[in-house]
Amino acid sequence: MKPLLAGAALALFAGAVAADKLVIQAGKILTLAGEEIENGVILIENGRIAAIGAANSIETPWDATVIGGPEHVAMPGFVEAHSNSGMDRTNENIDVAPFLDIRDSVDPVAYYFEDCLRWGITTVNLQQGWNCVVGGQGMIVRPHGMTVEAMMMRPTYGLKLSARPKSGKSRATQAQALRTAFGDLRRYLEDLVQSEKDERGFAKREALFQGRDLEGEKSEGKAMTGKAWTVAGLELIPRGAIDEKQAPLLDVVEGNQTIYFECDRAMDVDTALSIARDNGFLEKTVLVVDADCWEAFDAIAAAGVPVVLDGELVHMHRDPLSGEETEKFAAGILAEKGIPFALTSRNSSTQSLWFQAAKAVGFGLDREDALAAVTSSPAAILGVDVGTLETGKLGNIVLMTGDPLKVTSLVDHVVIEGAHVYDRSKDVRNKQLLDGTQPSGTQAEPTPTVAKDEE
Amino acid sequence: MKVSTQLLALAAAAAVAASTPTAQSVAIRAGTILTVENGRVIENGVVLVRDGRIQAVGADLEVPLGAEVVDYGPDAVLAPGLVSAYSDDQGSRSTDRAANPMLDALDGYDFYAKNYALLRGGVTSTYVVPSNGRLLSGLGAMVKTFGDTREQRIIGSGIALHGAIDKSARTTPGYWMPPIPATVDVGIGYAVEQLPKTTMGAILGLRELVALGRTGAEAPEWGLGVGPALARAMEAKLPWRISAVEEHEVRALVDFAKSAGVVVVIDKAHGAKPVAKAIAAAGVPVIYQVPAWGSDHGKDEDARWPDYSVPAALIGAGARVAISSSTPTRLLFDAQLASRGGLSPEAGLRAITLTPAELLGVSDRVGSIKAGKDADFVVLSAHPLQGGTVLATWLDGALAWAPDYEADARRAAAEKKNERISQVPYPTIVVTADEIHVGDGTIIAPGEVLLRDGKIGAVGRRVPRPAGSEVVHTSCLMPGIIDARGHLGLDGSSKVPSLDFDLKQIMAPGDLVDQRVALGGVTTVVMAPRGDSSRGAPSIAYKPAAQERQVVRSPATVQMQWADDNRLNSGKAVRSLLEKGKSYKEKWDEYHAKLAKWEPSDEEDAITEAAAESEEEEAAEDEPKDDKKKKKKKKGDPELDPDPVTGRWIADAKNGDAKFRLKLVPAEGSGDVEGNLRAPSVSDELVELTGSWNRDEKKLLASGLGSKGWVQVDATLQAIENEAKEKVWKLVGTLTAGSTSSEFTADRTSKDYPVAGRSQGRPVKPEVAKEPKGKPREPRLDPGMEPVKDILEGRRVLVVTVSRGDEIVDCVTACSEFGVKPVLYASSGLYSVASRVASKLGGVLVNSADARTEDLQARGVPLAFYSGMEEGTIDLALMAAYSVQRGMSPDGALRALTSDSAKLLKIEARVGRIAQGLDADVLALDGPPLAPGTSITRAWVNGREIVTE
Repeated sequence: MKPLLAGAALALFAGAVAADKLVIQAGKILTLAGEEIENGVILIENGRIAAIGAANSIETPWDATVIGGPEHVAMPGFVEAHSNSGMDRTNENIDVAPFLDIRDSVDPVAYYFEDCLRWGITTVNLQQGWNCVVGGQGMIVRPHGMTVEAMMMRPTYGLKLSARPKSGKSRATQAQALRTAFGDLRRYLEDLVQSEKDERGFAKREALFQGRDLEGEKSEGKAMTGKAWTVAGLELIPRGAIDEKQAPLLDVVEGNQTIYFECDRAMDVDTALSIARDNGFLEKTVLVVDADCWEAFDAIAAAGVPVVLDGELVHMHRDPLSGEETEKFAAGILAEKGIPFALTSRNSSTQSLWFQAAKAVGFGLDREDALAAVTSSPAAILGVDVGTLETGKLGNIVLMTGDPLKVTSLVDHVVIEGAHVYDRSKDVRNKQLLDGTQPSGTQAEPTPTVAKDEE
Repeated sequence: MKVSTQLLALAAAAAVAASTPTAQSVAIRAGTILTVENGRVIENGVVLVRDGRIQAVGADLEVPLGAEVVDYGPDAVLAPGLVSAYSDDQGSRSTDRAANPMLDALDGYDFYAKNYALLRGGVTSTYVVPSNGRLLSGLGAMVKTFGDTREQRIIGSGIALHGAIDKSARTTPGYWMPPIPATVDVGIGYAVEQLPKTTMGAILGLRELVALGRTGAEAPEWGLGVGPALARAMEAKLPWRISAVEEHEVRALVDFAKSAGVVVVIDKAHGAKPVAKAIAAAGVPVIYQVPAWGSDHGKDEDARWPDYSVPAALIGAGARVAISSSTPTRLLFDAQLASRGGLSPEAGLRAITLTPAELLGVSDRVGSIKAGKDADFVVLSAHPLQGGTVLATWLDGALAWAPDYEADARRAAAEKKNERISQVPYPTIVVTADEIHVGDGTIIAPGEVLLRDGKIGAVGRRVPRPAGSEVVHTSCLMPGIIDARGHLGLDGSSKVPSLDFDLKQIMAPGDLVDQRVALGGVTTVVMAPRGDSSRGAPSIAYKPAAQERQVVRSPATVQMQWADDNRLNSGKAVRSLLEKGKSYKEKWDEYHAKLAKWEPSDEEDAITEAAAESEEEEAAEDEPKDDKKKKKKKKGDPELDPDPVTGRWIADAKNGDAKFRLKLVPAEGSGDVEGNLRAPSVSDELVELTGSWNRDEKKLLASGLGSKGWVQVDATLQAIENEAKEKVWKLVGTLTAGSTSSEFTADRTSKDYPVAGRSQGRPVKPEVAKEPKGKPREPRLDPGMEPVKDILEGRRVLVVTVSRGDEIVDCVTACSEFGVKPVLYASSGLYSVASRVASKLGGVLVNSADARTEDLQARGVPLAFYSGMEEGTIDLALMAAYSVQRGMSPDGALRALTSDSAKLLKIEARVGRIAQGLDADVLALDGPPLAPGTSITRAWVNGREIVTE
């Protein structure tokens, strides 16, 4: 029964076509960039928001598709700032593997992406898991499309580093392995330059043998531009001749790649920041922290790096002297210290980011901060053109049946870059789950066997 | 204890100043100052501290004007803060390589950790182990045990090469780094075996490493970077701290040390005794590690049985020895242990302060009391190696730990918690809701509920709103959920108490977990023992989250198991309990019948005689012991109480604690007495007391070991007149702890000695009022049989664990012979026989794992949901919601959570519905109840809102 179902679901999700002009009507628009608009209209042209405002101020083009209505609340699509889902596995077993690319691992028909639409998530930052020293390169995707290429918003974006010990390592050996990775890179580059000066040309020979082309941009050498350390004479080496195992880390040291640094405890934050400083990529660092790290939030504020709060919102702190237990609400402390942060849906029971936001409000975070933490803040961290509803931004919009922080609200429609990709009334799996109706053509097996299984 | 008040004040001051060095000068006085520097001891000396450093130390120092003076008194001993040469907080995980001198121990040290346990043990500096189990596993470091920042804590990084040649280092794996991708130049490779597998291999490895360090060259067989790192270490003349355990390992290491040309420090050295002379002659220092005690050592022939006299032998031979502990928090104790075999206190103290500091190269900062060094001290009640206990620990010139410091923090936390247990009057609240699910199937939409005095004052479409009431709106309201059989409150205990044990005694006021459970909807839990007893076990229905009025009913049910290990005997236990109960009940029925027929006569004069007679009879019947005979002889004297000791006592102390608690019981067959004492001022934990009770002198003498030392209770029983001019027996005496003592007067509040799982002994005889002659005599009250009598009268519930269909039929039939409708538990086989037994059932306890609940409900069997878990009870509503998904009606599921459950358990007069007069246990929801998407927004228990902080 399953393959049939998946096929039907695919047909629904793939069937959406980007209309040239799309008009969204809503009883209320949460722009997250200023005032809320009552009874508003959003006009999307060629994937971007062309106009947004009150219904009477915008003329609906005669050839536009219209969705929504006064019963809907429109808001920017949710942005998942960090996720390891949608892959077959989250990590390779090799400690240092920056040459891996997550695109080889992503499965476009994974239920995860389908669920993302159900929960109104329109942008996902896919990164490797924490069980590594240096992980592979991630990417930003839209959770919609038949192929990985169709989903891709930004390929080879982000690299996972972990201060949280890989299984089998202690915190000390993990920190050493991280430092060694960058030390090895430096030694490799120095050897490369030396061999070039000695006219041995090892790098070029190796590259040519492996069939890597050294044409165009790749045939030229460039001086190294690291902020913390550089290797003189790197301009002698064509960029294409640099070992592809090392090239991604060179990108990091040169400040061309964003780092997602995983931290599990407060002391990990110090390790992560010191390695980022030593290798000049502090400005491109995003810390992926757990609520346990709350003691290090001062250090994070001083370093001025943004944070993805992954996992629990609250840390149960036990005072070592009195044995008293207090709840430390991590998102609240982050907001108080002025650290830019995003929430993720990990460890919530669903993929629902608005559930996390609502939980944060329950713990005392401001409504604006909570909503920003699942839309505009992650968008700013990722540097993508989404997260608020303004003219010129990408047309990623969610239409909900009510206020997003209300538990009774549901996602009715999802629009990604002007394409109407989700409509709850046509959600086959949802319907089956709630109504028990079978999609046509899927009643292949008789039902009594199910009852038998249960016994 | 003159200093105690000063200490308290100081602790408070230090708590504010945290551990930042104070700019102000501090002068610390103590009767004895052990400087350790050249063994110098200063009597009645003073240490001047400024900016976290020692300015001066001596006997006749001039204390600068404005300096804060802390005087620990003439008995106190001031010693340098202890230096632990080992840390146990590093995992055993190491890298793949046999030599890894680049590994920095500081990378693994948690600078956020609050090491109060070390401070309590007097340890102010500690070595940090980079990792264990490799020939050369890394660079060790030295840190302070406390401090606000990383920089403040570091004393030295990279201070020693840390390694081992013992067994632990010989499991180094083969080393293989697959090249990715493999190329023509770099093949896929193979695993390279590494040294060492034997002691000789280990020594060979060390020699190779020393040679490598001399050249500083890269050596691929040892790994990239090892050569240069070793060269740096050797240039800095770092000691090689190598652990060797067995005698031959120590011997090999000494030989290596003689020729290696590097400083070697032998670590652990458990088997060094026979090699003592060689060690001393070679001038190799030793850090002896007191072996871990308190666990199995191994029974093999070559197993090492602990020998603590190694340091004495080594020092006797003239070697330099530091002592470390495998558990650094007990360094002080272990050092005393290691002085077996005749180590002088001076040598012992040096071995845990200055010697390790010197060996590890940090003696310029720590290790002794000397001008210019860090102001780290430990203040003790006596010499540290002669049984002194820690009175205070100073770190960087500030008080970092003192017993009061800790006690204060606990007290503050406890007070904060007590504030929550408010004695404030109940709030008056009107909850308006779009829908009120009463619990018995009816819905009031919209409706209002008045919560007043902890009860539900009114329910309806519109209720009165008394002045000052708070109005709250919610989408939906339902009664608090009842867990018909859970374990919350047992705290993991699996004891099965006897039927006459009162479970109220193990109940505690709601804590955070209980509050969370209440916010998850469960307000009442039937706390049932894990497992059944053949004589029946009680349970208690209570409200975990409540702070007062917790008990709903006790005992709530009697639980038993039908099946026996030998199935032929199944059901015997249940039958025999009901039989016994029946005869007990018949006795009472007979009495009541007689009483109904009896008519009081007017003969007033017969009364006293009858009373005397009845008392005599009873004494003979109830207590055949001669105790009772005495009682009869000295009639009228309160001393006659045969057991004036047993029970709970609350004492009013003149100083120290305002109140403390005492529980006592005489040990059987002797004059011994045992019990326990809870008095926060003398012990953080319950103190177990043992002692004697002299009946003739009415004298009690008991003592026990508390968390802060020995405690003694010395008291006599005295008859004292109370306000009502009655003579009351009180315990009057003194409570002594250390050098403090306080006088107290204690009242007995109960004659029970509560112990979970133990019967409460002989039942307490109710006071018999003087009764007219001829009146029928009341049978003896048996608390163990009372619940069974209630069951037979249909006023209490019998819960039977029975699973097989045929046994269910047997069980129900047997019970119906006694007129009892049993409640079934764990009845997986019920479905097959449901039609035969449905009418004779009191109900069934179900959880979502039980199939066909909807079917049972359809047959009219009352159901109640149970969790069978402790805090997991919070998921009870989900179980019900899931059952709805499986076909149970939402209405029926709600009833099985609330009103049906209450009815089945016969506690419906208190809980289970939103109805006038019932307890105000209500839940506010944001959607319809039992929908998976609905969450509980607020909860009230006994009319008080549950809030977690």
